[in-house]
Amino acid sequence: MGRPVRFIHAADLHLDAPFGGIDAQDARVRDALAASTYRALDALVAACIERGADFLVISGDLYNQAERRVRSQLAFAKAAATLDHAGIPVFVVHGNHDPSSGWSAGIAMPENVHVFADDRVERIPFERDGELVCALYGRSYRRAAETTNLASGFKREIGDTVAIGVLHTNVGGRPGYDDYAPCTLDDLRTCGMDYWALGHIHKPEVLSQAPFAVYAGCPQGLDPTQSGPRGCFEVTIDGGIVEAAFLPLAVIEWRYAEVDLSSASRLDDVRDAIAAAVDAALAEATAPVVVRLDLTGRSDTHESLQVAGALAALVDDAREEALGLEPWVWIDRVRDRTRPAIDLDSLRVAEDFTGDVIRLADDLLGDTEEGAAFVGEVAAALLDRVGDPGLVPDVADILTRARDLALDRLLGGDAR
Amino acid sequence: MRLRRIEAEAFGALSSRTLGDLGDGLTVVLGPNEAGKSSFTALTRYVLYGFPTAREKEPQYTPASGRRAGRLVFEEGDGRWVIERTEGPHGGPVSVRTLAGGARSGLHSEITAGVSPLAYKVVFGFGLDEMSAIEAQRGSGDDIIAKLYAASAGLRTSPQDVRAQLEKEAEEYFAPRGRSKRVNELLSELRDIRAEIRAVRDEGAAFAEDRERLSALDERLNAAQETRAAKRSAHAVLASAVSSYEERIAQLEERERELAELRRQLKSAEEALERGVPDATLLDSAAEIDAIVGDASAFTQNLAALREAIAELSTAERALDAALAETGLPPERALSIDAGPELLVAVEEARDDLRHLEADRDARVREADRLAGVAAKAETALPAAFESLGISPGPDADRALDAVASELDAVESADSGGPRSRVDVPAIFILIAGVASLVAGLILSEMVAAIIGGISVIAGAFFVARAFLGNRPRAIAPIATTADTFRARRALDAARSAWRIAEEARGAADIAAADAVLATDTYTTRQALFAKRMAEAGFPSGTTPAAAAQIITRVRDARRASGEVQSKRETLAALQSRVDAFAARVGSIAAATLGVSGAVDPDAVPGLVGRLKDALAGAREAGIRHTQHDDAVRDLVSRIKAAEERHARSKDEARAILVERGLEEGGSLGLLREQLALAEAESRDADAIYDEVAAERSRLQGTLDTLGVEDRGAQLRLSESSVRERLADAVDRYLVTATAARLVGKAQERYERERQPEVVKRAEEIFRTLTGERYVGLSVPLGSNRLEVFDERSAAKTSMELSRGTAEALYLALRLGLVSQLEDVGPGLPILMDDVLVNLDPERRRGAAVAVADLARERQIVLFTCHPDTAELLGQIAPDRTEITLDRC
Repeated sequence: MGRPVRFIHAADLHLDAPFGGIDAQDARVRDALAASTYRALDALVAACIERGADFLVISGDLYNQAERRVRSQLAFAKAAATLDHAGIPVFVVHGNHDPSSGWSAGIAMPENVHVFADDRVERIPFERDGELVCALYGRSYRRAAETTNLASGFKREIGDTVAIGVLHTNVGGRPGYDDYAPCTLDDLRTCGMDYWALGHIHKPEVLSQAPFAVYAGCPQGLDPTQSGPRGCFEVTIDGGIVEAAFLPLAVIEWRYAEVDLSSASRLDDVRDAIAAAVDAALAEATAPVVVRLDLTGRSDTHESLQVAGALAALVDDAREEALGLEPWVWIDRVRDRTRPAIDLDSLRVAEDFTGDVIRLADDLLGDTEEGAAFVGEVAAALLDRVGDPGLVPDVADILTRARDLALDRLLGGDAR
Repeated sequence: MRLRRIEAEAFGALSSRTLGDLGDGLTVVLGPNEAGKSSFTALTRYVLYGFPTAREKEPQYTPASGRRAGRLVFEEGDGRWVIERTEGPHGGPVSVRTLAGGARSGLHSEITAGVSPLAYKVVFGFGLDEMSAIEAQRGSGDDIIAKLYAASAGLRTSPQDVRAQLEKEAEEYFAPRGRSKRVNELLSELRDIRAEIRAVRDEGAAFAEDRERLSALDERLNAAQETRAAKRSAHAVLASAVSSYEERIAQLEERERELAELRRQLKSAEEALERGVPDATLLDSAAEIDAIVGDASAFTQNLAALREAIAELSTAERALDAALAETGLPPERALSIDAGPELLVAVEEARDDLRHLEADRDARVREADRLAGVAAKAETALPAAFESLGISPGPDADRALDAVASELDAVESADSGGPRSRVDVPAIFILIAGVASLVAGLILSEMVAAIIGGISVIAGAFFVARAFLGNRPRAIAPIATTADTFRARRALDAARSAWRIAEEARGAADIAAADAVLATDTYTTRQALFAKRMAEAGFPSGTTPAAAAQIITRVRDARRASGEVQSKRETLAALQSRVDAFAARVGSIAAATLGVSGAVDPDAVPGLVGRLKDALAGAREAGIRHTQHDDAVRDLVSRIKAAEERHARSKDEARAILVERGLEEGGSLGLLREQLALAEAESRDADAIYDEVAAERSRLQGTLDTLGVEDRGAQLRLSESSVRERLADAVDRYLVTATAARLVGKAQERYERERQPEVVKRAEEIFRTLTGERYVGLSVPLGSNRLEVFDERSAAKTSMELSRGTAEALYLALRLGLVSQLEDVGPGLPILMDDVLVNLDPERRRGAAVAVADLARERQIVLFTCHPDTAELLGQIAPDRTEITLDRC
């Protein structure tokens, strides 16, 4: 074999995926978010061409079929056509968000797009200048909830100089992700692949180096929890030596920070702390940033922040300023998680009303069921009205903050 | 902290009155009605909490004059302080003044901390009117008991208030049995957005079907396009056929008319051709006649020139004769003289030279004569000048003058002077002028000047040499005296001057004479030379230069006249020859064409030429007309043939059109037009079908294109996310707030359950005492607005079911029990009771007095009464009490 095999490994593009958990009130931010997955796709195509990739591998969840968005499938067809023009094939497996049996807009893809079969592990040889340089093995999801271990069907054929496995799977049953196509790292090791191009987990990660098993992650973080670098991997296989280098592609970066207000005594200090947190988030960024902040600590500003509209006014000011930065920063949410500057321990031992409140909260926090029942009684009617199972309250958090709120009101600032 | 005095500055009927000093424990104030017991109770409350405004339903205690004002004097240890207030806005300003001890500006706040005005009024400073208020306020928004609980716990705000506020805030977000704006608005907004998202999804879901529909429409459109093209083509073919047929029919009619016209023209042309035949003889000689006509004008000019040349020759011959006569020489001799320019130039130069030499000679002769006269005049003056010296002006006069000068020098040498040299200046001048003239003559090749210069040089040199050689001394007569010497010197100088003038005049006269001789010789010699050359040129002897020049001019005129005569003769001969030749040509062609015979006189030639020209023009015109007629006949024959062919072709084409449309038998334009109308209708139908399908396809394509680029779905999902975030925030805030309210409520229940029994227990004990064990139990059900008492049979009664006395005992017991549990709340606040025992029977009154006395050990109590027996009873039970008597105001 002559020059090394070089390809780009991407996954979980989730084109046109709904952005959850963000309150993008600014039109510029909304537009940028709406276009972000497409811009990431553009960046992926550009990376393939600039890096001189032999081919592109997409390990599932190219788009969210549930959205039934024509635009996403057209966009991918256009991107594939661009790569076809550059002589770069694209190898794709279907994942749980775009299973092969799912909805399709019926848009014909260019000939350079090869979709792996959904009924077996399909081997697709890749030739360069008429010479076989590697073989790609992959299997698509037929349905979204694929619970069988698809990795068990992968087996390297004798004679393959380089073997690449493409699979959308939850290796090791990672929490926070659906346990689809479950398998273990050992399952992967027994298949004889030189490189596992994995998808499903949105955070980029090299699971193993022998063999290389890599989650490419999503090129664009899809919600505020998906902070940190997002992109794809440039993989080079030369004489059996595999190298995988991460390439950032995200056009919007998500950030989360806790802002400790323990030493803050005035709202001006809060404003300054928020501005400092924004600056810190921007310092690490190469693209526009959406940042979430939690104000924490026992702070003298806690009571001031409880005044209706006080925090909102601070956030509005900070947003306006942050949007004027280059690149811009959108302060998505600022939660007040400060606590009153109260000596809980001393109040807890007092045989008075506040002591009763604290001890009652302690009892509820200590007894999960009782606490859940206590909060549940408060929340039942509301949650029934809202009908959103995603809004299940964090009982401990609710109880803690409710306790602090009650103490704050009861003490009125005098007993601190 | 104890209240020592109550001072009424101006308050109702009280004016500058003081109640005090009050005791540490129980103080009994005994006074009749109108003594001011209620006034002091109210004043205490108003000083602590402010004077009520007129709008408040409180007793005003308006003084007779001035503003309400009062003071409370508190004491603790060695310190004494006054809290005073004067009526004013917001209850009137309150101040703390220190009478003794350290300043305690915050004393007022310390004393009232945790006790609201209402709580004070109900619990601390009450009379009969307020007795039942403790129950009436319970469970309301101003729960006295709850407030006092809070105060006892060190809370500024009552848990009841906190819970109510939290519940109110929670209801801003959501109310389980109510309509809350926030959550409902957000849910409504969310439903709308999700409906839009579903619509967008449905649009996307229909994309594949729409694409299939688009493909079907494409096929239909292609088919409609083909049909439309076919129908249009058929219509176009038929329209073309009809048009062609109509065109052919029109062509046939036009060509038939054209053929008739051509045939008529042919007949006319043939007749004209036969009529006009041209003269062949004339046309054959046309070239020669044209040449003669062309040369005729030259002939006319030659004839006129000939006649003019004859006249000019005669004139020239006469001029020649006159010129020869002017020369004065025989004609042959005159014409033989070489009177060229060289000769004329030589004669004119000689004439000018001789004229110059003659003038020069005459001038020099006149100068010589003048200088001779000058010299003779100078000679004449000499004898007189020499006479005083005694010498004569002879040839040696010069030497004689020198000798006289020597003698005089010798005489004068004793005093001064020696011999003097003399220079002959005119001689030197002549010498220099001569040299200059000689040089100029040589340079300019002017012989006369050179000769004169040479002579002047010789003469100058002579006189210089002579002056040099003649300056020798000569002897003169002796001079006797100095005066004589002086006179002799003057005479000598005069003689010398006269001598010199005479010598110079003689010299100049000699030179001028020599020049005159030389000029005369030169003129004579040059004149002789000119005469010799003229004779050699054939001129008569003695011809002067002027005469020679005149002869030469005339000879040259004669020669020119002779040449002119010769030239005229030659011209005349040539012209005569050309005239004769042309007359012969005209005669010849006229004989051939016009029949004219014999020689032609030159004067008749122009007439003949005119006749020839006219005859030829006529012949030519006839020839042209004949050719035109011939060409016209040929052209018409050709055009008739072509028109006949076109006519036949049009006829064939018209027939072919009908055959092509299947109308070979009985076909006509009308049938063709019927076919065209049918095809046009079919084409319109095909157009309509095509447009309909194309429009439908365009609409569908537009829809699909929009789906491919719009981001409405993403925007909607972002909106959904935004609303959901706000909903989550509202849910979160509701849960936290509602949970906090519930926590407070639960804590309140627990507090009441665990701590209220102490209050109730104490009140129960007091109540039991007050009622003489008739009532053994007291309960305050949680969450209810009532008090329950139990008699010895455990029968429960509400306060409403009790007698007034029993109820007041209950309220008093409850107050005393409550205050006994307040511990540090309002530590300086005294309890002021205004005749609250009056409605109790003696037994209960005693029990109440005991309870009051017991409480007075913990808290300062001021009990007002107008009943001496009550005061006495209290005195028995509490001997250490303080008693104050008030007089009626």
